[in-house]
Amino acid sequence: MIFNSAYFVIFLVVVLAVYWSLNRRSQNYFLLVASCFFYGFAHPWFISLILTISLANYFCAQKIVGDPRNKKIYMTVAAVVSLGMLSAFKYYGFFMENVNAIISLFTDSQGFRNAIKVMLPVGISFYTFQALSYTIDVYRGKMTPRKNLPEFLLFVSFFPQLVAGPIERADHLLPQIEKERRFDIAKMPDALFLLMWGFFKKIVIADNVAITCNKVFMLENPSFPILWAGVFAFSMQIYADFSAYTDIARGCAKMLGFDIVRNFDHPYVATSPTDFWRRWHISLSNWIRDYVYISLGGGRGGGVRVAWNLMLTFFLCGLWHGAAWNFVIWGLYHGALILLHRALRKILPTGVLNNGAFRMMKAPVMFILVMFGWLFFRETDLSYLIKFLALSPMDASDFDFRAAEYMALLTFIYSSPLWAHVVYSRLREGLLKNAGRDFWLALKTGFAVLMVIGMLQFHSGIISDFIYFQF
Amino acid sequence: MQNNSIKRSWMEFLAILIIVFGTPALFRSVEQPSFDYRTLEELKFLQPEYVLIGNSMLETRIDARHLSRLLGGRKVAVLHSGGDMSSIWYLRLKNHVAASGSKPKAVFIFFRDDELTKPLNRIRGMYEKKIQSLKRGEEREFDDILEANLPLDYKSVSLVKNIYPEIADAQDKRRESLNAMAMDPFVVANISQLWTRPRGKNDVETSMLRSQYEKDWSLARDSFKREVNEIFAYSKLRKTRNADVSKKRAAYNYDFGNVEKTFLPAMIKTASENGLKLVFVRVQKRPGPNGPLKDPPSLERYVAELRDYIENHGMIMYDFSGDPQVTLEMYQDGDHIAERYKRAYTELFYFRLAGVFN
Repeated sequence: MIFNSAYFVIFLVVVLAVYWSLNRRSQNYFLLVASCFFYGFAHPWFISLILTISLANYFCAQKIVGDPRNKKIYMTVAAVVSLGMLSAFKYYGFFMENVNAIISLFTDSQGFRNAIKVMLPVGISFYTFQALSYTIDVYRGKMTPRKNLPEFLLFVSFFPQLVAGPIERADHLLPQIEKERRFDIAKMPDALFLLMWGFFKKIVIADNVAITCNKVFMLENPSFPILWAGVFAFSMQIYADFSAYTDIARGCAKMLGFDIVRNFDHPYVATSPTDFWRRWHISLSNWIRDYVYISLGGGRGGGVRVAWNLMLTFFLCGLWHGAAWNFVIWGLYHGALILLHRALRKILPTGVLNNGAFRMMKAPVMFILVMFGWLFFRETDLSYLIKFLALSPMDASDFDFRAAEYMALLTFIYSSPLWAHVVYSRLREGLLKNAGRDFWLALKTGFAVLMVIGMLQFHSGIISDFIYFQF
Repeated sequence: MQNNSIKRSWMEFLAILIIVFGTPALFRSVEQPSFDYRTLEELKFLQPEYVLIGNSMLETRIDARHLSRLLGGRKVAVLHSGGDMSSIWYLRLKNHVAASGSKPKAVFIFFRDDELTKPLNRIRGMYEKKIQSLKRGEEREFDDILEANLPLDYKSVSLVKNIYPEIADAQDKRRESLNAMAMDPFVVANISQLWTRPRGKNDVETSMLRSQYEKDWSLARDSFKREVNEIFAYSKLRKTRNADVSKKRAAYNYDFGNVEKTFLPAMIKTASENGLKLVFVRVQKRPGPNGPLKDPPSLERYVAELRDYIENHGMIMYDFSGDPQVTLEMYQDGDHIAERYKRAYTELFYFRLAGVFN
């Protein structure tokens, strides 16, 4: 079931109406049933996957504490089941493609051409990591294993964030599931505004700039400026689309009395690669930092060791996004940016990067670097990727530049609310931080009216999936 | 105190809901487009012997004047506009052709593949106004067909549009304005033209200068749009994308099962009640480099069922698919025929359907 559909609106209204009439335990059971319904709406058999992964982690976590001598074995079992299922559904095809490619390099054989095609269950990358993080935290002694199976199942399958995150940590979401939740009408306005902002970003911004992006990436030989106008459109699309999902998820969760972590913090004003990853898909970058990078040794050891840890972490980050080499390249690109930035900080005199013109240029330069990386993310065909990287602005006509500027301006106009939101956030934290609650309520209400009008007048007319559903 | 606080919170929330969802509903001065009497009167005046109904498939294929000459001067009327689908064809047949009382010898309806049995194709956005302009008063049968087919999302969109008619109706205009805002800096010769307007020595001269100015600007915009569209012309798309389209077509399940819920029976009923002979003309889609593309099995079955249905109800169907004289070089973009081949295609149409014309 997708958020931007009438079915979801009806589903949410029914869930809210029933949910708030129940006591805590019944609420949890009801939410679990609702989450299964939500996830299994299109393909009921998906439920068996999430159940398998959840049960494996639940029982292994209990065994880790119950049988500490063999805790490594149970941790391994949980990891193998979780990552094994993820690999089977997500990476099997990619693995077979590469095996066939290697075979055909050395022989005339066609390889395994009749390998079965596996359907990718939506959200598997997210809930696998979410369930696994619980078991790892138990293994590390950070939390105690839970003895209430339905509540644990709800933690893994909680519908607002099930399909595209944020990836919640057990120590953040489980206590909320376990405690009493009372209906608080004072929280509903903020929940409503979050929902509306999310829908606005998806319907008006993401789906409209996607039209430009998709047209460019359908071309056989786009010119240099046309290509980069398309990449700019994709930069806005992916941010609007993904952050929209998160906001809708957070708004729904808030209406149910839950607080879900923020997943974005205006990533396009980041001033360094590390800063970017503190602002973009925060839940994933924290997960990868805590469970991969730090496990590998993190920043400990010599320069080469740290560089290796970082590049391996980003290799896995790229691979998490998709079973294709372009995602791996994108991940490695970001790893390389971080290494380069660290090297620059060591080489340049202290404080240079924080002075004068450098300071002003940090965010725009970082945006251009991130935008460049999105080319690897969007273009899944390596042969086209190589061709695009070789394009020269000298080969483009004057009209190509004018057309690209028009497309870029159109993208900027549609995405201007995203930039306005940066200003709004800065004002809220700065100049207007002492403004009263009534002021903010009135302002947000005004914005909400504009968003309703915006959605009615500027929707693209296309109902499309969220981009991160494919992960 | 706590009760007062909860009361206040409820009042606030309800006020927000009313303001947010109620304010846009206050804009209600929508004028519905009036019925297109002009076409009706033209048909009454012309009294055509043959009428052709369709969309750009018809427009790019048939030269009405040339067809009339081939028919020895017999009158031919062509009713089409780009993008029209079965909902609009039905209304044109009923409220223009049948209502004109002209009793043509045959009414040809041009379609592609399963368009005759897709009642929900192109009923939203810019097509809504066109549909409104073809409706005469209450159209119970038309509304019943849509109601029978509208899935929940369409119904909810209709509900939203009924609550916010002014704002929803302005969608095309607003999107076009936004598009123009992005385009204009690259269309004008001089950037200052964006905020200045020409002034003459007096009001009349100013009015004339501004009228010419708007015309020139509109032409420049159209020219710019055409050049931008040329960048994304069909021939410049990736071959893999075309292959994907073919694969999707092959995998698509063409279903004739729900024909009674479509506009096809309504068209046949209207024709029968008014003594009209309908000829459904299936156009050939763009051939491949090696000749016409073979229909996938489910489409073959669908077309066979469609033909049976049409012929069992006393009407005619002609299928141009596989016609060896309709070659790839005749095509422009997509399934449209190039202008320079329009006459040739008209002649082919005349010869192929000689049995209907004689």
